[in-house]
Amino acid sequence: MTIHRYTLIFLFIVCGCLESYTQTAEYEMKAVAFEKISRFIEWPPDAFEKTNNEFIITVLGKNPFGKILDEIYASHQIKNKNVRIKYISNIQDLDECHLLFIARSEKSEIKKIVARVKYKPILTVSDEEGDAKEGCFIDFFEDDGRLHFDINPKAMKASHFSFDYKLLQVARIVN
Amino acid sequence: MEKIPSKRRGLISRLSIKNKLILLVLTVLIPVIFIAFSLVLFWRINDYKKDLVNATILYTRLMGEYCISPLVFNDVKGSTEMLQKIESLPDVYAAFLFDEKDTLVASSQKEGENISRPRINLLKPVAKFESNLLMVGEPIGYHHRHYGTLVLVASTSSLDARIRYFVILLLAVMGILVLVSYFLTSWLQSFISKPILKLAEFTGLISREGNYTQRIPKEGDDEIGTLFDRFNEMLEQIWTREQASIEAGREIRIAHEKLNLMLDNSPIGILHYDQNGVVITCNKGHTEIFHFRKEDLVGRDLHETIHDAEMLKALDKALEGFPAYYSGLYVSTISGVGVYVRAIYTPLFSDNGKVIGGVGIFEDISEQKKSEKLQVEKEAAVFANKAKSIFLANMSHEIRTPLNAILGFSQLMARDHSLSADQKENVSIINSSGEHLLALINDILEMSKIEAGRIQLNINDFSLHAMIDEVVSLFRPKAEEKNLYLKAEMKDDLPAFLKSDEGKIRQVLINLLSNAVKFTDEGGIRLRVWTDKSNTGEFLLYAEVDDTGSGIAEDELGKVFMHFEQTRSGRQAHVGTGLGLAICKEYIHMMQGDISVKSRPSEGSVFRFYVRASESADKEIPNREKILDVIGIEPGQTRMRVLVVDDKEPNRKLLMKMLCAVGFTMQSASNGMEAIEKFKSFKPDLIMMDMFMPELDGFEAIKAIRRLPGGKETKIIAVTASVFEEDKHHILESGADEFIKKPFREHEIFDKISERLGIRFIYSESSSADNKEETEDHLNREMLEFISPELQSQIREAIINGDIQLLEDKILILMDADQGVAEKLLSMVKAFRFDRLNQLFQV
Repeated sequence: MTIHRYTLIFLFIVCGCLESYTQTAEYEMKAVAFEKISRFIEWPPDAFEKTNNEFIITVLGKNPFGKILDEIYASHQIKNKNVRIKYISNIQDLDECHLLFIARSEKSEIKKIVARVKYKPILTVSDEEGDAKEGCFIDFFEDDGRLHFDINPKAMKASHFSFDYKLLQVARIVN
Repeated sequence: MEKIPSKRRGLISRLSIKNKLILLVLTVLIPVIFIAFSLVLFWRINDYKKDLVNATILYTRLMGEYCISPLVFNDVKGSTEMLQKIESLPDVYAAFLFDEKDTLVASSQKEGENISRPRINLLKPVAKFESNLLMVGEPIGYHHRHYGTLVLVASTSSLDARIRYFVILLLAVMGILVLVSYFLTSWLQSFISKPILKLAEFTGLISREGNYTQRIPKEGDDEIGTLFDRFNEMLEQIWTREQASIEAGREIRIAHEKLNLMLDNSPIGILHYDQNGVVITCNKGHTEIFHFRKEDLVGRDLHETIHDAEMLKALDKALEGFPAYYSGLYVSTISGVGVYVRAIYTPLFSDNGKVIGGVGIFEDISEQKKSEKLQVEKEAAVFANKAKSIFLANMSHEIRTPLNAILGFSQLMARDHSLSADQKENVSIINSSGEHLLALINDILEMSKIEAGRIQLNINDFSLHAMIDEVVSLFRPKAEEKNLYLKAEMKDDLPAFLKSDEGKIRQVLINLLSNAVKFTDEGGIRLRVWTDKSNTGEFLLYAEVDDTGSGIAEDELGKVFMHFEQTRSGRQAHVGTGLGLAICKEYIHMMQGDISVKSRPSEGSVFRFYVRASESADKEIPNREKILDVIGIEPGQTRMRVLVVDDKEPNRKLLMKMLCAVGFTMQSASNGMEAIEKFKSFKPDLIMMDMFMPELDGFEAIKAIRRLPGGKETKIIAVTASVFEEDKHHILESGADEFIKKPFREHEIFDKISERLGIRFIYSESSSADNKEETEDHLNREMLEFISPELQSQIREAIINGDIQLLEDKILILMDADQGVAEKLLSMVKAFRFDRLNQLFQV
């Protein structure tokens, strides 16, 4: 009974934490999620040849992260590579990039953007739920106060990405 | 049989062999199975544990994989859902998920379980059993990154169940094995225990029935089979031994019966008494000697029954342990009978040397006492007979010695060529009378020998014609003197040579012819000889003497052949002994013939006899050596001196004359002393020494002479009447060179002298016809080898003692072994040829 009680208390505490997290640090969570998701994804082999072995994150549209991205990745690596953050407002400005975050501001442009990066070694992550259906690789959504994401394995495979099944375990799969 | 108390033996030894074997097998089997099963169980438990651990680790790893992404994305819900999958794992009761900071992220427990958070090192894989739980912790890593730890708690209850199940299984198998072994052993042990039980049963049977001829049939060739063999061998031995002991018992019984039979039938009285002298038993002989019943003596103390002091002394001595002897007249106090007895008491001893009684042996010597007297008389008679024999032998010797002189001198005189014809005839008559006297003596001796049956046949080969011629020529002078004719008619078919006893035939013819000549005054005598040659080889030789003499009266005809019976005419003639015809008849009977007479007074007589003879195998009979007379010494030789020593004057003179006549220088001595003196003065070349003389005999004289100067050069010829070889040895040992027996013949003397002195004589043809050689006996020592050494020595002794009776008795023993030899020896004894006998039996 004691264990049971402690477990309940524990769960309660964990849930409380998650609640506050969604309110205060939604984008911090998402920033961290880039790295976490990257752990389960393999880029095409030549993806990092042109970038001097840097991992380049490009934020498209209105930057929802503020300084969070820069702060986090100043001290953290993705795929054992230093991370450089680029911010662009127009898809036209996209150059070398490994992860493209599509802010909610680009919601209408999504088809254009997907087409633009199609078959490129760029992991597309959208902040808008449902973009994965549009051809984006991953989109974030919130459910029950928790950050979730969809994944479009078909699109990823088409762009020569491979991923761990473990990713599928926590994501919602979209075709 | 000694029985070992069974309580001393342990429980196990009280078990039957069957149970022992079973016990043995199970005692070995159970621990072995137990150890083996324990090992199996141990391994099995280990395996089970390993299986459980491995399965749990596998679960942990698998589940850990699925916890990675929830951990990465802090997906507590996903983690919890993941952990709840333990519901489908049978043994896992709880799961705990820790993040990399060892913070519990999620946990899950099966319904009804309440397992607290495990306290284990989360950085390393761990698997440990805690009470009835297995805790397995596996770190969760991905791409070299530690994300946390998953701990699964599994229950060991299923493991315990399996182990329990397995133990039960093992126990069941073990039980089955033991049971199976028990039954198998029960079945198999019979191969060992059954023969043993059989042996035991068989042994019991044999000891109950005592039948050792049975044999236990062998089963198999193992040790028990061998045991059976040994047992059978043992039975065989026991049986053999038993048979032997039965046999021995039977033999002892038979021996005992025999002994009893012998004891009871023995004329010897045997008495058995104990250490106090109380009679235990006695045999029939004992009761018969003393004429009482056995019951009168048995059980009585001998000290009461014996009153004789000497007998008591002997008994007491025996009771003290010494053999004792009694001999004499003993009067039994029980029967009152007095018997001459010889009693021997022999003590019996126990093993430790104590006297436990004794045996008395009684011999009735009454008869012996009587016969002892007879024996003395008999011995006296035997002694007398022996004395007579010796007397006869001596007499013949004593009579012959003077005859020797008479015959010797007459022969000496006959050689004197200076004698006139008349003198020669006178000498010849002296000579023939001497010969006749010798013949008479021989007749008497011969007759006594015949009476004693001591005459034997001397079969030899001879010429019948020569013999008859010789015999006839003997009587021719007398016949001519009486103016009688003497005719010898011999059939033409007479065999030239005969095999028969020439001496006896000649003797018969001589006797018949001499009677015929004696009793015939007119007419003459005719001798006819013929044979009945019915078959070759053996035949009958007939001879008939027919005279024209006075004849014999009819009433006297039957007497003529009887001993010492003379006819009236015979008695009137005062010639002869009356033995002649008796001897003839005896001789003829010996030659398996017969003699008959036909006569009428004044008409003459016809004596006819026949004897059995056979034709001689030899066709040539060697002529007798012509003996030549010595008439002198060859001229040109040294004149030798000869000393004659003899205590008897006739003998001395005979030799003196004989040797003087041929040309020796002679001297004489009458005893040994004189001989030594004469030797010193006369220095003879030759001494003729008589050995037996008064004062100093020949032996001493020879020894003395030999010691004198020149004594060794002188030749000495011993002359003795002794007929024994023993004396010859003595004589030659004493120093004599030569030995001549009396009565000697002239030529013997001259031969020896010639030999010793190397002198050559001049010879003339002998005028003497009397050279009758004694019949050669054809015996040699080898032919006597069949006689046992004892008998030989007895014969030798008899010869030396001159005991004719004994000698003949001994020789008669040989009759069965070799009649021929025995007869020859007997004839030698009768002829007093002790010299020849001595030679033959000499050692």
